[in-house]
Amino acid sequence: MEATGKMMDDELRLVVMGIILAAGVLAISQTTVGQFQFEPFSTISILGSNMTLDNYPQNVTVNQTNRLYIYLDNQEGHLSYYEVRMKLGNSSTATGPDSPSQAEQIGTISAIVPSGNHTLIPVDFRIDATATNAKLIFELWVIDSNGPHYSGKWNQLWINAT
Amino acid sequence: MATHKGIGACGALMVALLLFLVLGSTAVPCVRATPDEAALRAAVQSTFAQVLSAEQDGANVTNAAAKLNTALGLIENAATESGTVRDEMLASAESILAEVSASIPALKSEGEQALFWGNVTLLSEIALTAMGLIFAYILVPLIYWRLWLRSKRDWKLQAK
Repeated sequence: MEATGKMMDDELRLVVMGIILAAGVLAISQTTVGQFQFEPFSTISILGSNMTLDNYPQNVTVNQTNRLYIYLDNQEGHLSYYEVRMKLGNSSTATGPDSPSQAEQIGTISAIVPSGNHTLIPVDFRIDATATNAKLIFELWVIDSNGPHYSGKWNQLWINAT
Repeated sequence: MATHKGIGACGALMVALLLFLVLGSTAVPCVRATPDEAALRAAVQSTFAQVLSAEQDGANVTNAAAKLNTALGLIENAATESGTVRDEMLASAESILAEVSASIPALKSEGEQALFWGNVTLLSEIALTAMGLIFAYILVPLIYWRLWLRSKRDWKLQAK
């Protein structure tokens, strides 16, 4: 009888302590959430004129203004100052994460994005000569106390201009 | 007589010249130098560094970031304008940057306070959880059996 009572005491303790522990962990996680950034990263995406992942201009008219949107997402865990360098290259223009492209720079867009936020920037561009398989390159640069440096992230669109 | 007239004319000329110089100097408009784009971009960078430092001290920099973006937008748009419109845009950007820069000490102070209270909240939560566990271990059986006995106090035992 005494052993049964002791077992019941232990079970009661376990249940109530489990509930308290779960509530405590939940409260602590709510307080600390957002304080730690385990895998910091930034994102650059190109969106079409409808602000979606389609409707990209593939065949454009020379000297005609075309609109795109640049989506920047900051998951670095701190405020970030970005510069998007817009370049126009051809099919042989090298692009990659190690070094920025050597293509002609045709524009720059800057934005300061708070941690955990994103921004959508409209970009108007115009090509002033006919081109086949031209590459419209968007490079993400990060500006800090040492000045701008290439983040290694880029995006590109293939375009024909007639 | 002619000499007197000559002296009078000369004096009048001198007075007129003096008046012109005095009035002319006060009438010169005070022109404020318009900051150039490169200087403002450098100012954005240094203000950004200050805001970032405030953020690391726990400050909420969302508003400051929005203002910096506005200043950046004005600087970028000013590049496509000219004349007074351009000057006004750049002056406006400069004024926003000065405003953000001036708000940094207050932001840092708020951040430090927020950080302090955040730590107090976290430590309180940990302490409360630990105390709750200890009290549960000691008191739960006591409270349970006391309630159990109270609920059964009117019961009568019947021996057969």
